[in-house]
Amino acid sequence: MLIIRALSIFIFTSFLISCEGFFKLPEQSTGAKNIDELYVSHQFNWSTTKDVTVLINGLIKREGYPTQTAPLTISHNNQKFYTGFHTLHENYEIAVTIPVEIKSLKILYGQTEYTVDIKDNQAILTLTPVITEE
Amino acid sequence: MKHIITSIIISLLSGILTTINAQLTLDCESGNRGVEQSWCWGFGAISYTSAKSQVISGDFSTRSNSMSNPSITASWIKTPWIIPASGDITLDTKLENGTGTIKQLILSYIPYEENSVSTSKEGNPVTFYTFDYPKSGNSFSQAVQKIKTTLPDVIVKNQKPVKILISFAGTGGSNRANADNISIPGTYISNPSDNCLPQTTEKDTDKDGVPDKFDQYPEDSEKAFNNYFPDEKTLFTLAYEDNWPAKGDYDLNDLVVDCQSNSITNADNKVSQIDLIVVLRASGASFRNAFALQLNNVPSENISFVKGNRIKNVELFKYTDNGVEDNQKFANIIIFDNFYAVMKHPGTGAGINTDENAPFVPYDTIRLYVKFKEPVHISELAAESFNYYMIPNVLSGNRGKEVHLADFIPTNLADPKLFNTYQDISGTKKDNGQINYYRTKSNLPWGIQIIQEFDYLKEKTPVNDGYLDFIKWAESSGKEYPDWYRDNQKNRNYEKIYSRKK
Repeated sequence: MLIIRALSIFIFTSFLISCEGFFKLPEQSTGAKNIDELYVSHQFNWSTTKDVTVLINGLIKREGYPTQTAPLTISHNNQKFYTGFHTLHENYEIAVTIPVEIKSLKILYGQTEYTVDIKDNQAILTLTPVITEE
Repeated sequence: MKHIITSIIISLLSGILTTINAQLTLDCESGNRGVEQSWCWGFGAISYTSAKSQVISGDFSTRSNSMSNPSITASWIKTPWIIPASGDITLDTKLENGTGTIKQLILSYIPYEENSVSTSKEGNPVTFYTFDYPKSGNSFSQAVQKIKTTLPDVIVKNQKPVKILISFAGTGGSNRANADNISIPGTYISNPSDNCLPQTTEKDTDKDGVPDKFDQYPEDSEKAFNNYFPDEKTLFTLAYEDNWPAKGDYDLNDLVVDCQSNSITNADNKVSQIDLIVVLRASGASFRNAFALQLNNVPSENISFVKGNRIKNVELFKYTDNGVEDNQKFANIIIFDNFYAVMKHPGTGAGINTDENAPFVPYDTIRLYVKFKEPVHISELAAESFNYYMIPNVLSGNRGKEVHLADFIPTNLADPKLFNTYQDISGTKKDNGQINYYRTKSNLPWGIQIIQEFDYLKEKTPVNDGYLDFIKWAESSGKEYPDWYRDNQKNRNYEKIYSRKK
């Protein structure tokens, strides 16, 4: 009985393995001539945009200093993607959706303009510089 | 005039602030001058030191440059703008060795000069206290000196913004000074986001905390900022095939609309209202198609009202009192329920505005307003939360048929029995465990969003016939030819693209 059961499991497993190719979705095409020949990755989202997370690392909170806010705009080549207000000592995260080809964002923070590169779909602005003493 | 108003505001602010007996302190324990600089402290030829022989208390103190220059601008610490209060300035200081001729710590105040052409608005420093480091015999003492002096009456009475300048000066030798535990009576009024100038009270008509000069709705406390997608001057295009779950002819012109959304945020960066512009351009379809938007993260009950949509042309949709579609978990807004009821068929040709031999029908623009009961944080309304979709063939009586962009979720009125039929693979799993939605077996979508106004295809013309890089873009998963839809005069076959000029 045990042998029959083991044999059944072996045959069933072999069947599944042999059918893997049958069940598998088609591979990606290369050089398709028309839509009917076109096979693309199922991870491809067909989007002409990308979502970028902009992180603002706020000032380090100091005792006795007032809570202050600053106007904030995020743009690229005069295309404005976000406008808001930021509390200076808070960290803030905002998602913007932008054309895929944009590599950096301009962040106008109060009166100061920063250009921040996009890496791994993140743009990070740290308002407190780190000064290393010699 | 502006200067007078600013002066009055600063004076008023000063009057209020003097009632608070605040102290401005610097203990260096951040270990990073950048922290203090970002709050508008200034340092000239000054570092932070953690060397045990140099630290006065805690883990860090300041360290001056060699005090061989008698100028007060040779090595200095400068406070942010403060409104001074009565009381003592105190600080601890010491020299590092005994060398030199004269070694001094000099205190000055810098008045605020609003009309100054300099960006800092700093007037000339006025020295009010000089401390000579004591000598023990021929060399200077290295003991910690406790400095204590009062601020000049004139600046305390004036209640105008000043900075306090602490200078380390001298002649001879290569001596340096350390300082720590600086405490100055006064209230901080610098604004780090405005070049560290004194903060002024700006006019705020709706009292929402956003000054009128930044507030795009200065008289409406529920609104402050416009956030357009794609941007203020651009619309994006959505182009669909309506034969789902069958693939169709792939001309992507069965429904073509241009859209722009404006998420209007309040002072807390929460969206209180969404305004939409939807431009109906083409419908190369025999079906009567509807167009809708599901806000993926917004419950139906959180909508206060929907205004401006073109509905009630067909019986298929049921609505709640607040204007969203009934029996939906998330807010579903039917933007129009029948394209052909909004734009009339010209009488000849297949569909509307896809056949150049038929008369052009002017585009129709819908302006839609969706107000929230409870404002929603803008991060919950990223572009991916805007789930636009088509309901094809609304005269069939089948509400369950929906066509979304690839991998956008169906609404809870979609009929799952239609999934994974014909060419569709909705409901199947990807290798990473995520679920496919609205993709063909070869992973093609039934709808596509283009980040600008898209020149769509003529009737029965597959998109790749007009856009020569489309297939290469898709096969590279978007890495190559990301601008396939933009006109660079080499990547299009103009003959295949619909033109209303002909």
